[in-house]
Amino acid sequence: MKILVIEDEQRIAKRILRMTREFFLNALLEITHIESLEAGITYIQNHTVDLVLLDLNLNGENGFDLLKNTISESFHTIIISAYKEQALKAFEYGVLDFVPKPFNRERLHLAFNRVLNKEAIDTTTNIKFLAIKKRGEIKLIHIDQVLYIKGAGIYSELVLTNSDTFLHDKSLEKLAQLLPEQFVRIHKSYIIKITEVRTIKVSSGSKYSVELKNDEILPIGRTRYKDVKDKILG
Amino acid sequence: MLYQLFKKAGLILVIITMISCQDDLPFQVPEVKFKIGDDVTWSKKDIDDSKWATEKGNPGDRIFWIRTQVVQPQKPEPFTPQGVLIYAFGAYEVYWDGVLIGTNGSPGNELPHKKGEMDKSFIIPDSLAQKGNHLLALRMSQQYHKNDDRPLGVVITDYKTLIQEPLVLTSLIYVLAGAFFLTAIYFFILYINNRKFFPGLLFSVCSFLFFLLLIIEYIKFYIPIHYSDFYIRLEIIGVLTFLISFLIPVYFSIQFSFPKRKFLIPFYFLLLVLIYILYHGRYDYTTQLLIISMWIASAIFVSNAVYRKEIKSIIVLCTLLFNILLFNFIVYDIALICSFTILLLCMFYILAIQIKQQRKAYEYSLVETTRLKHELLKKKIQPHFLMNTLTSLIDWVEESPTKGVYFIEALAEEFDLLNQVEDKKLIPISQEIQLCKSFLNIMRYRKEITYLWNDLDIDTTKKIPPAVIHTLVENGITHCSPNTDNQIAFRLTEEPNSNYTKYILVTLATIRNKNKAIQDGTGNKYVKARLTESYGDQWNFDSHSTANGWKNIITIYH
Repeated sequence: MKILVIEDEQRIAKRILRMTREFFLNALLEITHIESLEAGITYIQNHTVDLVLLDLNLNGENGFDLLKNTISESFHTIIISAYKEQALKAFEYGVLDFVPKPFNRERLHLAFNRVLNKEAIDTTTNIKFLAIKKRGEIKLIHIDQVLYIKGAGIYSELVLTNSDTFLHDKSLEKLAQLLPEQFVRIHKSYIIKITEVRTIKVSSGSKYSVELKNDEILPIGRTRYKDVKDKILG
Repeated sequence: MLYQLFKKAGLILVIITMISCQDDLPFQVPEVKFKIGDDVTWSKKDIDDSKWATEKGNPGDRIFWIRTQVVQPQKPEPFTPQGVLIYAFGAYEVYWDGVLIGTNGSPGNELPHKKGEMDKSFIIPDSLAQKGNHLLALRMSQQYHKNDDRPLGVVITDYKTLIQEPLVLTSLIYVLAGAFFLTAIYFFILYINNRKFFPGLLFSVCSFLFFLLLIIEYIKFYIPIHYSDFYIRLEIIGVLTFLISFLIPVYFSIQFSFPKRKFLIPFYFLLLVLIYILYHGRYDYTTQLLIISMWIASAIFVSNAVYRKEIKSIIVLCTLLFNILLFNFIVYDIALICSFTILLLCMFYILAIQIKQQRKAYEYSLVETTRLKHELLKKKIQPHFLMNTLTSLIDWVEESPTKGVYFIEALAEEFDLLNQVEDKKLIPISQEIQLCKSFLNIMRYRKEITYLWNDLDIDTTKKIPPAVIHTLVENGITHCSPNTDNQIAFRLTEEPNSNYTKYILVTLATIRNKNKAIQDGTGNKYVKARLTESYGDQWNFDSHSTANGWKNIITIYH
């Protein structure tokens, strides 16, 4: 795990570093502390990072600027900020968790557990946009436009209701953590939006599939069938 | 207020209309023959006066006669006494077709008792009041102002009109004068209660002068003025016109903040003085020249205001142009009254608007004061400060309880100081410095940077708006990172001067982002709003980067 901490308050940064080390122990390959937003963005561009712990107010700079620029990157972001009212907005941009200041060890470790997928995420206030990079520009795609998502190695492919497709830098696993309840993992390579399903089809040889409203047919993983059926029919 | 203004304006307009509807009396300036000497037969209708002089000559104290043909324009109504109103410069007996019909003073024996008046009406005997030509002969002397030669003026109409009409006109004009008198008092009281309201004082003075002008102009109709005192009234009118001609453009220049007015107004004054001296003695001509100068100067000032898009200036300019038009269509006296009335009404209107703006500005300043107070309090309860402080505090308590206690004490001091200053507009600079020091103390625990504070030559008796320097310290912390020895130093100095007090706050540190354009952030806005609140526009604030940090300069003018 490679972690970047962006925090302009020395004392708080020390606290975050200490608690992070305590949690990840040997799993922590690298932890870096940076004070300013600009240096943070430069760092991200030149290094591989798995997790960013971000303050929203950095010496008057707005942490959202970083969020907007890097939201489509493959790492997860946890916001640690004094501005609780910004939490909703942060979730809309696809952050994994929002830890309000002042925080304690338990709250920070809870956030880390989410990173390790040990904790369910409260999906009521969740992601509204998926950011994709297109010709060097960041484009925000509203979650309502997404029909299903297909895994493509370390990337994912977003298929929209208008049949457009876009590549997203986060893996299907990471997206599954962020997406709201209406998105269901039906296969190791597919996440679909439940409301777009017309019916479930069972073929010979225990082959299962869903038929979407646009007539597309996608496979359902054998192990996931029961779960998917419950969700679609239930 | 506005409603009352409109009521007053309405009343005045009605009066103006009535005045301008008044028929002028049929005024005659007949050709006159003079002869020095005294012979009662010279009053006769049919003597030969063809060899008489056409000029008055130089009779000195002696008696002289004047003869002239006048015209009774209309056939008199039965049982309506006819009269003749005579404007003549001297003491005289009046002979109408050879018959003595009245006297004005005692000709030849005027000194030392002044008797008689400038214009006097006489009843014409019914038998002699037929339509047509009549001979008017005056047995006269002019023992005051002996060398003056003023023309004879005559009005012949029914006697009642002669007596009544000037009084009716005077009464109407005096209603107008009363309105201006009350205006003068009202605005003077406004000025007394608000000494900064200088245009109000000027307006009051202009109204009062115009009130006096109206009174003096029409005083001749009800107070007998002996011909020797004739010039006194004209001199007073001249002086009043001079003052009004000067003050009204001055008023406009101040009202519309004409640039360089302090330079131009003395020139205008000199011009008026020049006119006044050069044409002294030509009374009506002088006043007309003064009034023309007034229109031109006012028009220049107001045109400039229109050019600069000053509020309501276009209305004033229209009024001025309309007034100039008036002079082309109405006789001078009435045009003057009408134009002044319209002009003063116009000034009323501007002042009413100004009062409204002042009230709004005052209301705004109240809101602004409350807003600034909230902003000051918010500095310390806004999440960024409070939550970051609390997070650091928790960490200190967990990791090093002793230092945690010091931190809590520093925080307590900051809130205590804030409590003392939060509802004040100005606080002693010593208190402000305390506030900065205590803030740096907190930041020391949060940022683990050594903050140094140094103040030099500060006159601690002086006052400053709360949290102004404190805000600049905050800015310094935000925009600068520590030097290599992990410290940021602040140095506050004072440069006193007889004209101003200058505070210089220098931050010695590395500027975080030199390329980033300096924006007027909320901090600087707060500083400026506080300075405006306490010093109006008598301050200056400059903030810029230097080779080794940041420099803020606050200048407060005395």
